[in-house]
Amino acid sequence: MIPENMRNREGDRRRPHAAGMMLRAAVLAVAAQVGLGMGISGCGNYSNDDLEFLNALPARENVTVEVPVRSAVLLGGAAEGWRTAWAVSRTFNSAAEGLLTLVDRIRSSYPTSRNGETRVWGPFPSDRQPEWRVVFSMMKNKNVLEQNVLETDRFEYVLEMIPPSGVTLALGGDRTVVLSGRFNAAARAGDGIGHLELSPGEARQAGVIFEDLDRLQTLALDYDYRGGPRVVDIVLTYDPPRDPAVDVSHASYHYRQDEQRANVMQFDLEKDVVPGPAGVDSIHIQSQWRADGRGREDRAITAGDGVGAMAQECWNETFQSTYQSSWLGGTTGDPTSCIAASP
Amino acid sequence: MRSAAWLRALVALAMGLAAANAGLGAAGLGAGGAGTGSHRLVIAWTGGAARAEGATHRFALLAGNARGGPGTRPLLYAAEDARKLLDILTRLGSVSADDTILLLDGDAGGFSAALDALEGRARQASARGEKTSLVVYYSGHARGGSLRLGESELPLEPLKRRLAQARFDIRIGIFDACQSGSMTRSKGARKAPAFEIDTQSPRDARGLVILTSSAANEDSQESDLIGGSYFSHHLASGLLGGADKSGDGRVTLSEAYAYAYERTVADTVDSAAGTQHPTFSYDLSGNGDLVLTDLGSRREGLVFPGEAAAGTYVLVDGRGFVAAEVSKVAGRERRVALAPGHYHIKRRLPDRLRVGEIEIPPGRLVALSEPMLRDAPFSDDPVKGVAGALRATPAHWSVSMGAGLQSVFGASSPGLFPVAGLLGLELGLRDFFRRDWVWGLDGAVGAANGRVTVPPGLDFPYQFREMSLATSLHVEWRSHERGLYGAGTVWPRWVIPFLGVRMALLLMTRQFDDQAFPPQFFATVSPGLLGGFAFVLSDHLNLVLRSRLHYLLYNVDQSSRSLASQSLAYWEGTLFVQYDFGGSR
Repeated sequence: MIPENMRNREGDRRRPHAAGMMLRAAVLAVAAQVGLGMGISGCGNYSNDDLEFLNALPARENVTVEVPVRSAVLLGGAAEGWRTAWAVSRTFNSAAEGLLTLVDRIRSSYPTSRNGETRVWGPFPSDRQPEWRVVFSMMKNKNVLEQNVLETDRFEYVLEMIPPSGVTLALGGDRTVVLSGRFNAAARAGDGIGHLELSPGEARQAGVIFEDLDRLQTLALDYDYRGGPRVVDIVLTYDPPRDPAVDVSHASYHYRQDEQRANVMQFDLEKDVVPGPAGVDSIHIQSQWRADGRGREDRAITAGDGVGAMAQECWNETFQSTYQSSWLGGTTGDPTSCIAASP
Repeated sequence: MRSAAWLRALVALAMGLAAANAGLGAAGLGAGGAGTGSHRLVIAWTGGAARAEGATHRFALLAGNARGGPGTRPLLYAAEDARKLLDILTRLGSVSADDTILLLDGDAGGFSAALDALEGRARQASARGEKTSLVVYYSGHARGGSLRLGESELPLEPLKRRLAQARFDIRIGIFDACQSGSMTRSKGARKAPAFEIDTQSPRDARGLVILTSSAANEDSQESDLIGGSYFSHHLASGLLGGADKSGDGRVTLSEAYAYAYERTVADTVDSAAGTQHPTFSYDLSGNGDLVLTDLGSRREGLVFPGEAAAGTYVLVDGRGFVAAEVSKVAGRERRVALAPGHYHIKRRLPDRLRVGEIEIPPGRLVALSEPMLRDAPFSDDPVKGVAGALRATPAHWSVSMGAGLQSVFGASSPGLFPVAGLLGLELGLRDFFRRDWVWGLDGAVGAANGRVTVPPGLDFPYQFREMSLATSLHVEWRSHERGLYGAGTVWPRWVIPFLGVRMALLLMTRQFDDQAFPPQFFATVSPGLLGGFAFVLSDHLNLVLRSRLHYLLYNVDQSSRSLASQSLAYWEGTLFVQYDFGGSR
């Protein structure tokens, strides 16, 4: 009745449906092969340690000058003092911006290699400098003794440019440092004390073009934000001025913002504003403004032909001048409208 | 070399002798057959009769061994044979599941221990004044006068002596193995198509009956087409009702034997391995035949009304196994006590098939009528063989959905991987590679809020997201297949433990609240183990409690100690609702 596919209970005559069994075996073999072929490995940037390094890079809000939102566009009729403060803030922020753009690009990617307490991004081809490559390295130093002070967990970083073959660097070597920095973290994310230094000179000599930085020799930026007042210092050093009456040779900016968002900007200019035998004058300017817009500016010539001269201007919430005193001592307006001078 | 024609003639002669024997027996006893309207006396082996004639406590030991040690090849259906007999005895033979032992791929020691265990219980039953009986069934290898249970051997003669002396009133040994006839050769063995038992004795029956699937010098054979050995298959078909020649709704031992003998010989007459002749021997005293199954004890199954067309009907269960073959005689009702389920029916005509499908609901008898069948060409034969059936029909899908938790441990940096909630979907291909093997493809998504703390105490909250794709292979154990001390006694049938391996592809990402940090991701391949329990809620619905333990190679942050990749692990606990398209088995 059912004469097919019989098997001796002592042993098979043949294995039935061998093709089917081979199919199953093949599927299993392929599955095993795929599993083994993929290997047991992992990839990605999923890292807690990287966060420490990324946290050591300056955050935009910590190194830029804050101006009232409604003054984003300078209005006509604004006080001269505010115009100066606004312009300087722009200069300050644009100087920091160049660095921050670079830092943001670093932060938005993840390290190419990790080795203990070192992270390296790149080398990558430079976007704007054909055939040049850039590499960014960060090191975490557990203990650093500097000026007899032991600093712990200090991060140091450096951005280097690698020239194409055939290009010789002035200081020799196979790469030039464009940016360097360090950071000591405070107890809150992003807070700490940091220092950055932009030094494009050697690269520029080798043919790299830095837009808007054509005379800049160094830009040093120090910031300190540990939960209290936020302090930022920028010192710019330029190549010797071609026209001392127009070009500055050196500028420094000191910016401080307290917890109530009261802002103070101090800066020195080297500029020949009073013609005379002394040549370039040194001018110290302190601008203050509050979150509501009110502010004041105090100017003093500290060296040069106009040394000792002082001037002052105050403005209200709409940035209109309310009080002025000139270099020659004349005043207009109401001095009581001025906010208190910061020490 | 025997010719097929010679064998057919021999079978025909044997069948004729059987008929003559039966007639002589009935005439000699003066009781007549069922067709005469009088009743034969039978020993009440089944429950229905037991109520009428006194309690008999029934025990059963069923063993199936695929492997027989060196020089043998694995059998495919030994376990299935044992399971089938177990099902029939517990459904229709009034054997309580607690009084059965199913021994699959055990050894000689386990077999003896199981026999000891049942004997111990029988002793207790006897002490309570109960009559006791035992069925020992073995399907597997035998050679050189011994049953071959894996690497161990169980000599037949001592086993026979053991059965003869066992503390049961009635002992029935059924051995489906090569050369098993050597067990009946020494005393009273007959390679005969049927036997009759004295029904005139005033005493209750006591003694030993042994049935073997083949003679001492013959091999026993199994078939892919029927999914079992010939002898066990026909014995089971007979016990389900095919052998109820008397039509009294009860299948006696002699009816079952005669039925199995006739069909086993007929099916193997053309086989290359030679015709297989079942044998029997009995050493019984007392009256009556032995009723093995009472078809009336459960009013469920299939009824062939008297007017149903005559012929041989083949009933194929949902897995593609032939559940029973029934010879229907014209004008006579025939009942087959099929278990509830879905069946294909086939009746072969000279030029075509008559096929159909039928559903047997629990507790109901379904009558077959000719309009339920349709004509079909031979190419549409529902009996395609077990290998084909296993591939085409029993292999089926399941789909599961659920939720769970994942926890990574061993990371040197706190907050690296948060405990995440998971939502998952799984597809399972069941019984494709092997029975009870499940190949799974699963996917899951997870999410959590985490927090990283890095020196000097900086806190970075983040949102964690995860996606996983995995493939797995696991094996399920059903209690009735592995229970050493009887079906349902090790764990309930509604609990299915499983264990397997899994390979997962993980993609983890996190987005920090502080937008200054870029999103982070990690992708890896992770091998692991899985295990758990499926709780059967209904025919198709299961609740699956699963645990996974995976290895996780993390190679982004280096170990602070070794400056090398970190070997982590993760655990997942999930609760899924599973729909099994094949239904419970």
